[in-house]
Amino acid sequence: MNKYYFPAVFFSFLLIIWEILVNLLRIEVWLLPAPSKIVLSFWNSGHLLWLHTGRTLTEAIAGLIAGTVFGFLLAVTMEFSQLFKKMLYPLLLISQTVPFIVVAPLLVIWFGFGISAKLILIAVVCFFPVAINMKEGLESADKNLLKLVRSLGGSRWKIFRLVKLPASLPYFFSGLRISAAYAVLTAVISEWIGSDRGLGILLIRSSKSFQTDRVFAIIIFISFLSLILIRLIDVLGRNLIPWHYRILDDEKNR
Amino acid sequence: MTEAVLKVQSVTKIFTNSDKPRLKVLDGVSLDLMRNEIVGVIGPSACGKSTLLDCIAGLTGIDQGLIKLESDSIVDVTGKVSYMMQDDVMLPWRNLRQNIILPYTVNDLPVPAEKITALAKLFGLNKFMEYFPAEMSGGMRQRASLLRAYVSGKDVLLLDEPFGKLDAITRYEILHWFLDIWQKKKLSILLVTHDIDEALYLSDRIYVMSAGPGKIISEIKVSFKRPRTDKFIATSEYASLKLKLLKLIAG
Repeated sequence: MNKYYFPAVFFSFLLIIWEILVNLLRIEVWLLPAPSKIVLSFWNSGHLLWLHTGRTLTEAIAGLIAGTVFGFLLAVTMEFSQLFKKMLYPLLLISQTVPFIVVAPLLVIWFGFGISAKLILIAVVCFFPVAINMKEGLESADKNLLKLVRSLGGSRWKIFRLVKLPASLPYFFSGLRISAAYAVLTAVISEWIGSDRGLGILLIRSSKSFQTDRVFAIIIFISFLSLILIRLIDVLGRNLIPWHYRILDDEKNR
Repeated sequence: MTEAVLKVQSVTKIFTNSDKPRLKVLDGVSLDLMRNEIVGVIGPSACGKSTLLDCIAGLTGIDQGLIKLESDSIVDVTGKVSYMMQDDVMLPWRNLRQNIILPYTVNDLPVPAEKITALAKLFGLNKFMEYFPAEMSGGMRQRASLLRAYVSGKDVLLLDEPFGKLDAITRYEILHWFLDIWQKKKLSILLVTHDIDEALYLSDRIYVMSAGPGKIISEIKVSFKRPRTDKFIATSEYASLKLKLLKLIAG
C-alpha cells in the first residue's frame, strides 16, 4: 500500500468535516470559506493566478540559481583556502541569526522596488543551506578514498574533482532542497514590501478585500509551487548522482 | 645476487600530534625487496605495518632513514609504487571500469583499452565492468583493487592485508588465483599481513615485526618451490616454519 494512503484518507475526512461545519454553523465566507468555495475560487481566478505566478516563479528560480551558484563557490573556496574558511565560516553562521526579512527595507533603499532587490534577497536566503551543506559534504569525503587518489600521485585538484566533489553532491542536493522551499517563500514575502505583480501581491490584495476563498486558493497554490520545485530538484539529483540513490535504495530494501 | 628494487633503510617514524604525546611507530626498520620477489611482513596488530607501507607509498613522511626505489629516494613522493590498501577502496560513483582505470585518470594518461579488457578477463572481471562497487561482492572488489594496483604499471606493489576481510573459502580461492596471476606476471610484491598462513603461502621471505615501536626482529627464508600447490601446506617443514613464526610473534 502506498505511504500516502492513510494521510490522504485522513485529510479528506478533515475536509468533509470542515465543509459540513461551515455549512451547519453558517460561517461567513469572508471569515472561513468552505473547501468547495476554495475550489470554486481556483476555477474563477485561474487566469489571475497564472498572471501573477510568472513573476513570482521567475524571481524564485532566478534567486535560487544565483544563491546556489554563490553558495557552491563559497564552499569550494573555503575548501581550497583554510585561511578563508577560518575567517568566513564563523561569520557565516552568525549571519544566520539575522532574520532576512528585516534586511528587505535596506535592499529597497539601495535597489528600489524592481526585481533586483528581490533577487538579491532570495539569493541571500538561498545561498546559506547550499554553502553549509556543501562545505560539510566536501569535508565528509572518505579518508581511504582520499588516500587512494593521493597514493596514485593525484594532485590537489584531482583529489577535489575525483573524490571530494562527488562525495559532496548528496549534501549539496539536500541543501538545494531546503533552499528551493525558501526561494518561493521569500519571493512571496519580498513582494509584500513592494511590487506591481506576483502571488505575494495578489495575496495581499485578496486579503485586504476580504476575498478569503481566494487567499486560501493562493496559499495552496504557493505550497504546490514549492512542492513542484523540490520535486524537480529531486529528479535532477537522481539523474546527476544515481550511485547515491542506488546505495540509499539498497539500504531501504535491506 | 640481484639488486634490490626497493630498499628501506633504518626508517624511523614518530607521530607528533599536538594534543597527544609523541609516539614512535617505526624504529630503525630496514628491509629489501628483490625483483620478482614476494616478501611478507608479519607482526601483531598495531605494530606499524600499515604505517610502513604509507611511508613507502609517500603518503606520510619519515623522521630518519632512507627509502629508495632503484636508486631514487621516494620519501614523500607519491605515485611511484602501487599501493593496495587494507579495505577494498573503490570510488562509489565510478563503475568498475572507471575505478580500474583510475591510475590513468589521475595522471591524465591515455587509457590502453585493449590491455585493460584483456587484464579484466584474466582477473575474472570482464563481465562486470559496467557494475558499480555497491553491486559487487567483497571478493570481486578485492580483485578489482588488485587489478587497479596492477594496471598502474609500477614495478613494486604494496599490499596491506589484501585478503583479510574475506571469508575463509573466498580467501582460499583468491590466494590460489593470486599466486596464479603472480606466476604469469612476476611482480615485485611487499605484502603486509597478520596472517601467518597467508604469509607462508605467498612469500619468498618473511620479515617479522615486533610491536610498539615497530622493529624488524627476524628475517625468514621460505623456500618452497614454485609454482606452489596446496601440498606443501601438509609438510612438516611448513609446520615447523609456522611454529617458529608463531613463537617469534608471540615474543
